[in-house]
Amino acid sequence: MKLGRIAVIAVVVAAIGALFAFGLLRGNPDDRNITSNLIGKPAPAFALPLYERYWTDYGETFALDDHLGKPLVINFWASWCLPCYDEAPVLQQAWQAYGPQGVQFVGVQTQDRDKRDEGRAFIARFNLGFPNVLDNDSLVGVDWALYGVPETFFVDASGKVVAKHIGPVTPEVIEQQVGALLRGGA
Amino acid sequence: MKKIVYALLGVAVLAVAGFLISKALQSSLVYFILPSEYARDTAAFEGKRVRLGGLVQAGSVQFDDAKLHLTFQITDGLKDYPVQYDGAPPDLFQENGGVVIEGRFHDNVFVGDNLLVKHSSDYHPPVAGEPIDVEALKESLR
Amino acid sequence: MFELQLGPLGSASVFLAFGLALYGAVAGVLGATRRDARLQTSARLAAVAGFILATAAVVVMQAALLTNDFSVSYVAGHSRIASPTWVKVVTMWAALEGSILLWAWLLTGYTALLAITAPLSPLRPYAISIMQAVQVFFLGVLAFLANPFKVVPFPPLDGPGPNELLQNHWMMAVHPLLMYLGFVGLTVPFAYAMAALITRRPGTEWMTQTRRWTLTGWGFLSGAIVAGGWWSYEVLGWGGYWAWDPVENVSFMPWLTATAFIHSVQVQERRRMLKPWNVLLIVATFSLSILGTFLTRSGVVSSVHAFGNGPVGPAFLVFFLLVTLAAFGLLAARWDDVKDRADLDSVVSREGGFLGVNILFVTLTAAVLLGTLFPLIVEAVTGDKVTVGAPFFDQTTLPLWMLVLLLMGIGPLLPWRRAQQQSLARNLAWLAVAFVVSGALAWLLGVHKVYPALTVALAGYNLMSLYLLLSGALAPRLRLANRGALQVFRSYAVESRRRVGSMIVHFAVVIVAVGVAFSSGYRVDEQLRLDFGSSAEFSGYTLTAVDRFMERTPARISAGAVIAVTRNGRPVTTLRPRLNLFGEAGRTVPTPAVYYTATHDLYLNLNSSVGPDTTFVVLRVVKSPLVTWIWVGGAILLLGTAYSLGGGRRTVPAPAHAREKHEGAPA
Repeated sequence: MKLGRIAVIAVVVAAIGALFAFGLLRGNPDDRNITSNLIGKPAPAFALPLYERYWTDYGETFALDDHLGKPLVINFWASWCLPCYDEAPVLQQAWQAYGPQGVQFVGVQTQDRDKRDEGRAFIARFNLGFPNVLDNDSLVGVDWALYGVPETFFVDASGKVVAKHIGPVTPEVIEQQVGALLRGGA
Repeated sequence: MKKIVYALLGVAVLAVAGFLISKALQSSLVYFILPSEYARDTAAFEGKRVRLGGLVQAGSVQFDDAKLHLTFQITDGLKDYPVQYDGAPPDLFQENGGVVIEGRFHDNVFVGDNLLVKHSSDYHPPVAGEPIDVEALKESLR
Repeated sequence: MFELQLGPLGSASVFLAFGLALYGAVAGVLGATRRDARLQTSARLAAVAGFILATAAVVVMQAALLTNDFSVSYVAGHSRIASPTWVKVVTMWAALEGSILLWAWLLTGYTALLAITAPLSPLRPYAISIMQAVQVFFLGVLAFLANPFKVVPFPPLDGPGPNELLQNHWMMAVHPLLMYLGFVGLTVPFAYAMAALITRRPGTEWMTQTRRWTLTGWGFLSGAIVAGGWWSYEVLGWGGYWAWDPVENVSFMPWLTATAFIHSVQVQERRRMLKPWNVLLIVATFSLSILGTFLTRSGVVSSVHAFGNGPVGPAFLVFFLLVTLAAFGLLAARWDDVKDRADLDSVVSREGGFLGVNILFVTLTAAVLLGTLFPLIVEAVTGDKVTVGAPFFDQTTLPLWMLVLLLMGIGPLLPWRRAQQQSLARNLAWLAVAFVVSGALAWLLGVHKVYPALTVALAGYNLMSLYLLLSGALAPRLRLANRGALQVFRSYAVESRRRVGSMIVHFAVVIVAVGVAFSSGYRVDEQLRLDFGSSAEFSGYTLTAVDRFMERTPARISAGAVIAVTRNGRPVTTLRPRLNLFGEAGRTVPTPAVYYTATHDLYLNLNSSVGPDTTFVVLRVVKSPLVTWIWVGGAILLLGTAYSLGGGRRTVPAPAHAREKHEGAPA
């Protein structure tokens, strides 16, 4: 009798648990695994002002069109974004490793209106060697259908978006995606 | 004796509650559908309250700011239908953007009363002539 | 020079508090089973030390927030330099990790207070251990899954700031605090109920010792719900205060079961009956509060109030299932000790009324739970995506609310055990007269909708009931004492705080019910387009768009319209509905402008953006009658609860002679 009651309760609790487990596993619209519909499409063009330290190498404006034909890594960041600080050294290292192999990295500061001093400080702190631009109106971010920052897009030599990474990139992600870009482009 | 009375009372209360709840559920369950799902099963959704998800077709938006009347075509790439809505377009409402609108279909025209913009940016507007991943669209609008 | 780092300091406090909670939970139980007083004392000391450590963690968090220390991950993720100080303080509970910290801190505070003040009893060590076991969960989540004190190796210069909706209204600072105070307060009776089951002492001990905790917790939870409604009203821009959104529902369900509980315990105190009900209700209250956190923090049910997901959701699910299984399993195992031996003498009695309260509130809870989870069930079974709209909740709960009001009037007039036919008949006649007269009056004055009219009738009926209750209590005293009525009332109010407190609360419920019935039944809602300089008529008012304005503070940019409101040619007020933008990454949130009056509110929300070149605005204009009375009623309800609690510890439940006389079978 007593065991029977406990068994009934166990079954009911298990059923509720199963329902909620279904809810958890069914995935979420916010899920980071959802792929962008940009993938396979041409990279949306942009031309944005560069920070001063890059002027000698790239001029005052960075236009994406000028760099199509090379594998591209486009990283969106903001000065207030915590994970961006985690990934900045990773990107700088990757730039040092892959830049000489012909991969162009670009940092786009977005959702960060008029935060030029903060942007400069961010770049200086990590001594970012790859060009960084300011998307002051955040409109490029809209074109690229950003979900948030940081997000990183990988564009192949034909100018098509091949992959998108939401959240901070890790050396593994870079190695995998940039490796694929280089193999595909070679 | 008393126990039987209580049991009967309990059953009666449960039956009434169950009846009311199931009736209320039937009338206030709102399905979330896409235009192509309406096209597939028109009879089932005609005149019923639904939440219709889709994208605002480019070039179809007309807003009469004197009468506050908004019309546009909603599409999921497979089918599109005209939508009528009394009110101003909400913040962030834009062509090719995702929307979810609550209302009813009457003869292939959707009359909505609650318009929500879903700026879930995982779904990008389709490029003309290319197929649309309907499942991904639905998932992104939920 | 040693440099003080806030992050590690906070982490250390959390880890130590976690260790102490673990120790206390084990030591308390061991101390109780081995009858080792020293172990028991050490568990209580651990509870106090745990509170001190958790307080240290909170102080560290506040210091980090106020000094903009972005090397602390929570601050870097959720705070912003430009925010005003009050926003920085409440940012602690603006996001998940911080709100768990708040919850854990309040829990350790209540446990420590319990460890210091609870009278010695066989239940105490177990109850404190259970509180500490709950602490183990919260502090464990904090330490291992959602540590807000993680050190950021490269601290950003500024952060994104908290959720815009929180920054938009000071009420959002209060609402979560009240809710957690309520949840934590109701953990105390839960812990005592479990202790009672473990020790096989299902008598009245566990509830008399926790009466104050229960009532305090219930009061805070009630306050949280009213505050949440007011916040929705002032922020969400649709002119309503309750939308049956899952986030609202999950905070409402524990309140429903707790309301049933505070009524039901009185039957056990007086008649030693409804024991299984009481355990069931307090277990349900506690596990629903955990379930609510799981549902809203995991994205399992979709809601307009979106929260992120992460490992915390599954942790809450596991905890919810464990608590439910353990608590109900324990109840099943101890069923033979708990089940009632006495039976109702008559359904028409005070205890019959309380049983009715239980049934009504449990049915309400079931309806709300079903409506909230139904979309998930449908999707699991058929794969269809559906939502259950507000009409479901209205259709199922409105008749039940009417029954609640009906029972609220008659229940307190019924004597214990069995009603005497004569007095009952007289009271019923008076109640019926009040019901018919106020209902008819409402109808004549133009209230022709069913629920508002019925609510007025029931309000009149309830006021009559309160009058009968009060006069019934005062009449014999007046006859005996040759003092004035006011003096007699005052001495009665001091002697019977519980009774008077409950009357105040019931009175408040009547006010809230009328406010809800009219504001939802007779609301007028329109969209208006206004060119600057032109006017439009709305429900007796003339609205003129005078100008647009733009304001910039370090924390936000606001743009809005200046609307002059006149009535019959006389200026009434000037309203400034606006849109706010907090920070660059945020989205705009509207701030409606409300003109509050005693009879109705005029509510303006800006539905179009305002820029330097806009020539017109679109306004959502809502006029809803008697809304203010919901907030007034809420305040009275809290006053009544406080009154019932006040006045020291002398107001023990029932006089001893009454208890003996009415004793059922021995417990």
